[in-house]
Amino acid sequence: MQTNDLKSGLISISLTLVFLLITDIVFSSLLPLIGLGQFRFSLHILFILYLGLRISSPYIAIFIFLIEYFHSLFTIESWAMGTFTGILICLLISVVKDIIHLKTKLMTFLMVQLFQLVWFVIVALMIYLKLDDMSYVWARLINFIPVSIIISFLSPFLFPILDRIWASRDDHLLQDNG
Amino acid sequence: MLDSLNYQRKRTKLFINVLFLLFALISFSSKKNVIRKTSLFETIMMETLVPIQRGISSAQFSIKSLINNYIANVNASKQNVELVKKVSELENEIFKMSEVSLENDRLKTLLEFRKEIPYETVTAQVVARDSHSDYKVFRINKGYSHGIRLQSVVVTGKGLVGYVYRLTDHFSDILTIVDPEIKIDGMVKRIRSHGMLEGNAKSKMNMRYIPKNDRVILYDQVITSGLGNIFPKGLLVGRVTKIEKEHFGITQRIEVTPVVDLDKLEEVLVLVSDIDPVKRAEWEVLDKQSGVEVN
Repeated sequence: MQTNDLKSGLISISLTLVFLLITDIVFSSLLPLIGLGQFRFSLHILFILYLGLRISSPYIAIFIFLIEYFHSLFTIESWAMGTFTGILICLLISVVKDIIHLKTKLMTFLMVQLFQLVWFVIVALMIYLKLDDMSYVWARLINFIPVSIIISFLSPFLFPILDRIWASRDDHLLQDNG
Repeated sequence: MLDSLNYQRKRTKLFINVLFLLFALISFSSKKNVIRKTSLFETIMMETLVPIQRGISSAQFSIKSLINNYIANVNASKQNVELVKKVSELENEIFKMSEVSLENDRLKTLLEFRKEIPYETVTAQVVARDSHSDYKVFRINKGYSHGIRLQSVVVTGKGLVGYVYRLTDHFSDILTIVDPEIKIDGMVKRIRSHGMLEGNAKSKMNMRYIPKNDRVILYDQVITSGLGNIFPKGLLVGRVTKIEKEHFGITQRIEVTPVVDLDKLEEVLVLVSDIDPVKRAEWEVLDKQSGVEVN
């Protein structure tokens, strides 16, 4: 889907942000309720990967910033790390877009899992540079593995919902010349 | 024409991407400490959204209460919880009294007296946790309007929990002592040996700069030393659970396990400090010089 018009993109991102807020509120409060407090997670990575995989827009960096800024209301992790990582991932996706397709649920699962791994590598590097301690990276990796698998499982079901929000109908990666 | 439009689109996209990349990188690298003043927009958003988290959390307490008090054990369980809480508060009082007694003995020999910083407390409930399980951060249902300020200390009857790093009028976010962003000047109570406590990846704390010759033993209590202008002296932080002495070097590495179970917190106390105005003025000058803005 090509979103040249910032105004129409803002409507879609607003709906995406509402979706994000609902999931963040529910997961940060509900998961501890049912004894899964150790596996709290957020879907902000999934939304950003969706933008990179499905949406073609020159304003995608702005959308990523907005997602991370709203997500930062529910976490100590500020918007900067997620924005930086998200933009890098989307740039990477735009480079390899010709060899990626999301025709099947399995492919969607695998692509989302792959790019989550890339996301983790970038974030781990930033954490290591900041804290100078590899033990945090290993601790995050242990938490990351089950959470990323859950997010990847959710992706084939959530992508169609996001397709409706962004009015994207292509199953292939968009024909983005940018 | 189409090529020109595409080229323009590419340039716009590249410009915006680079701009936000730099913006994010500068913000990430320049962040000196975790204390955050919330903007007006953030305050409005949090004041609107956090009550929903509180509502969901309330459901948890109600369900738990129903199961514990009516299905499992009628009344006995409720009484037990109240008594355990009372015992914990009394143990904390006794602990503080013995610490005051030791301090008095030392001060008498030096012919110099210090005023203990008086403080009031605000009781608060935990309403939500950080959306990432990597972070031991949680949100409580009290804020600025209840007398809480940035870096207000949070405790329970058992010991130290952390401090407030972000707040709005009615809610506060608490950074716990096992987070790597937090540094606490502590001391081993028995031998009065000072060190620096910081969180590690195992949800415990490392205590550094303890001289190798200091005879720390397992299960020694570690308390706050009062240095650093944040934590009052004498708050119990944890117990020594691991000691590593290197062959070379002049210090030993100590692992401290917090006395408070941070995963199961439901209620906390926030110390609303009512300090000596002269000392407050001194701290504000020091904070300004070090570039920390704190209310």
